[in-house]
This record gives sequence, structure tokens and C-alpha cells, in this order.
Amino acid sequence: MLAPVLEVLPLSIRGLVESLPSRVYESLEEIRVRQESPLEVATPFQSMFLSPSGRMVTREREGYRPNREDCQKMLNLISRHSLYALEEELRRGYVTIRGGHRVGLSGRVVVETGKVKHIRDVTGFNLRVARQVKGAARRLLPWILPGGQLENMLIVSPPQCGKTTLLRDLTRIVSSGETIPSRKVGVVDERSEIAGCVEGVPQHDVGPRTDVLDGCPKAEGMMMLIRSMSPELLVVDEIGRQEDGEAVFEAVHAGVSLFTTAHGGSMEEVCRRPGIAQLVREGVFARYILLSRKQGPGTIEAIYDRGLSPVKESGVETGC
Amino acid sequence: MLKMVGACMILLSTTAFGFRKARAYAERPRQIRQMRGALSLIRTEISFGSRRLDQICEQIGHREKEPVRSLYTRCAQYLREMDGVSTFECWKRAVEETWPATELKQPEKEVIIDFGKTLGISDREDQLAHLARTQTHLEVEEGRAREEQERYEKMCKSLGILGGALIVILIY
Repeated sequence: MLAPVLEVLPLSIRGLVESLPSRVYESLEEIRVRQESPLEVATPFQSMFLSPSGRMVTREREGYRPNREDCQKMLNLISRHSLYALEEELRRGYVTIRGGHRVGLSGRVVVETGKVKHIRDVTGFNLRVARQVKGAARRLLPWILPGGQLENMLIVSPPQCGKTTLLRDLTRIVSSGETIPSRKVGVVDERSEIAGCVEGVPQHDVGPRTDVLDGCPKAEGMMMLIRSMSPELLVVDEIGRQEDGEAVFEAVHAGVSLFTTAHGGSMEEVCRRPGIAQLVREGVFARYILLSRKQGPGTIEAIYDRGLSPVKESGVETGC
Repeated sequence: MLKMVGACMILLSTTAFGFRKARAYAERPRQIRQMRGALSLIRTEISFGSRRLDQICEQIGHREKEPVRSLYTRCAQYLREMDGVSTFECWKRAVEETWPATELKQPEKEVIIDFGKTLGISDREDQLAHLARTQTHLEVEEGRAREEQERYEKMCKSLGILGGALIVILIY
């Protein structure tokens, strides 16, 4: 599963990562390469540096320091010798690679007329391993799809708590009709995270009846899908801006159900964001799911109904 | 009789030598032009920005004739297969390996290898600028090559024949 990730690592680093103990290798979450800084790997439980001999160390001066050449080779491998074709990706700051994994980039940013044009001298890479956990959302179905009925739903969680994983699995379940009647699903994947498209083809299993608009702005994308693909369910990641809220209103009034997510540590926090507060007040969402990391990523903190009263409150493990 | 055969052989070989030299002079501008043609294909592809470099190289390999064909086919192969090697190294290696099969000379070689240093590693505008620069350099070389062709092509042919005739007369 990690083969596409290894493919974009320069040989010197690839060897080190491959020699990790399988326990760590299997649960890798991030590989961070920074020029002249120690090589870092992270699992859900810990992060440490890798020494030139491949040992895991905690002291930074023992870590292997990738040099300029390593970074350039890595960029070469990521762009497959064609940096000019990655203009859009460089502007956004990340590249999705085969397998739906993504590489975040940092370096010197070139700005033109006040807007980020692209990143030059890329010196920092964050390889985020994408893991599809099929069945992650199965245990939630009785709570969020009572009787197989689609309801509008908002997943609230801090970063890295498995909200995209959960959303992806819900998409797959609804689209493939696992235990419920299957439906047409439209995904607006602005940041290529839900489906992880490469050249327009989803790298994750999002179900057979799913249409994906990859890299499309959310508000516009939702309207495009409603007009052109007649979905029964819309799936959108991370709403928050004012125009997203308006598009959500349009969508639910067009008779389409909506699954979406928002960053936040608690319901109060989310309700403080203007774009979302209005949606909550109007009672757009029938279910809210609050995630945390207490028992590993994907811990269900609570499920609320339309009136924000808890339907279920416990630390259910979904295994995301 | 034997003398006659020997004389003929001398004449034939010097003539062949002269013609080969002349052909080299005629081929050089043609091949430079071919290189430029390939560069403008790259230019078009890059300005659309939708294809990867190895795909572009492969396509040029299919469309062009030898010796440009083998240069690009080989480059595409290296880009794909050589793991973690910079674009420039792939390009340089392909150039070095196919160079003996061409009639091109050192100035063009430098321009073309130099071009590889920037290939694929910068944004679109930068790529196009470098391509334009390489085109201009090659154009200059092509002009020079044409001049040389005009001056030396015929001369080589006649020198071959006449030189042979001279040797034959001297030793007959």
C-alpha cells in the first residue's frame, strides 16, 4: 500500500523508510523531509527522527539530514520531471500522488499581484499517507441513517481525527448501497482528499455510483453537480466560508441531501463561525457527529440531533 | 591490367571519401533543423501543460525521423526507468549516447545539453523562455552550418575525385 509513497522518495531516504520496523512502517502517518533538518516520521502515537543508519532516534542531531540534492530529486520524482504541469498544485501547496496520498510543499513562495503564484525552491515536504478504512462508518449507520433515510449531516472534528476517512466511507456506503438502498452521489473534492483523484480518476474506493468534481471550489461545485449530475447526495469537505453556507442552503432547498465536515473542537466552537452558525440556527443539519482523538483517530465523541441535544454520547471506536 | 584495377580502386575510394564528407556538410543543417522542429513540439506541449515530459519525449520519438527519434525515445525511457535521477542526467545521457550517430558538431551539442539543465524543473513561463533561447542559439548554428555547406559541400566532392586522379597520375 505504501508503494506509491516510496516511489516519490529519493533512494537515500527510501532505504531508511523501508528499514523501519514493520510495526511503525504499517502505521506510518507522515514522512517529513526538510532540507538540512532531520528526517522525521510520524505514526498516530509518536513522531521521531531517523538516523543515517535507519534507527529511530529522539535527539535531533542524530537524525539524517536530507541535502539540497535529495530535495531536488524528490521534487523531480513527485512532478515526474514535469514541474510545469503542476502549476495549479504548486499554487495550492500540495500534490496528490497515486494511491490518493498527498505531498504538502513548502519553500520560497512567488507572489504576483498579491496572489500566490507558485512555490520556488521547494525545501519542505510532508508526505501524508492516506488510509482508506473501509467500514469505518458502518457502526454509525443506525444513528445517522435511521431506516436508510438520507439526512443532512455535519461532521465536526479537530484536524487529523479521521473526519475525511469517515466521510469517505459514508460516501462509499451510500453509493454502493451497503445495507441501505444505493444512491447517486456527487462529491465536490476541492482539496482532492475525499476521492484522492489523480488525472481525474478516484484513487480511493468511493463507490460505483459516485461522480467526483476534483479540485473544484465548493460553492460553485455544489451548484454544478446539482445542475449537471442530478445527485441524491452531495458530499463536500470542510465548509466554513460565507459562500459555502449559501451554497448549502441552495442545495438542501433543491431537495438534495448533504454530508459535510467542519473544523472544530466542540459544537460551541463551530457555532461561533459565521458561515456555519446560520446553518445550525436554521436547522439545516439533522445530525452532528463530533470526533476526537481520545482513543485514537476516529473516536466518536457525541452525536447530536437537529436541536443539538445528544442522541448518543460515548467514546465509540470506529477504527478510522 | 592489375595496375588499371588498382587505379580504379584508388579513384573510387577517394571519391567515396569526398562524397561522405560532403554529405556530412549537407546533413548538419538538416539535422539542426530537425532538432528545432522537436523543440517547437515540446514548446507546444509545455504551453498546454497537460502532458508529462516522458510522454512528450515518447511522442516526439514516434513522430520524428532518425537521429532525433532515438534521442527522444531513449530520453523517455531514462526518465521513466532511472529511479530518482535528475532530469538533466537523463537528458545528458541520452544525448551522449545518440550523439555519435548524428552529423552534429560541438557547438550544437553544448546548446542542447545546456537546454537539458532547465528542462522540466521550472514553471511554464520559465520553460518557454528557455526553449525560445535554445531555439535562437540553434538558429544561429543552423545559419553557420548552411554557410559551411555552401562553401565546402561541392569542394569536398570535387576534391575527392581530383585527389584520387592526382594519386593515380603520380603512381601510374
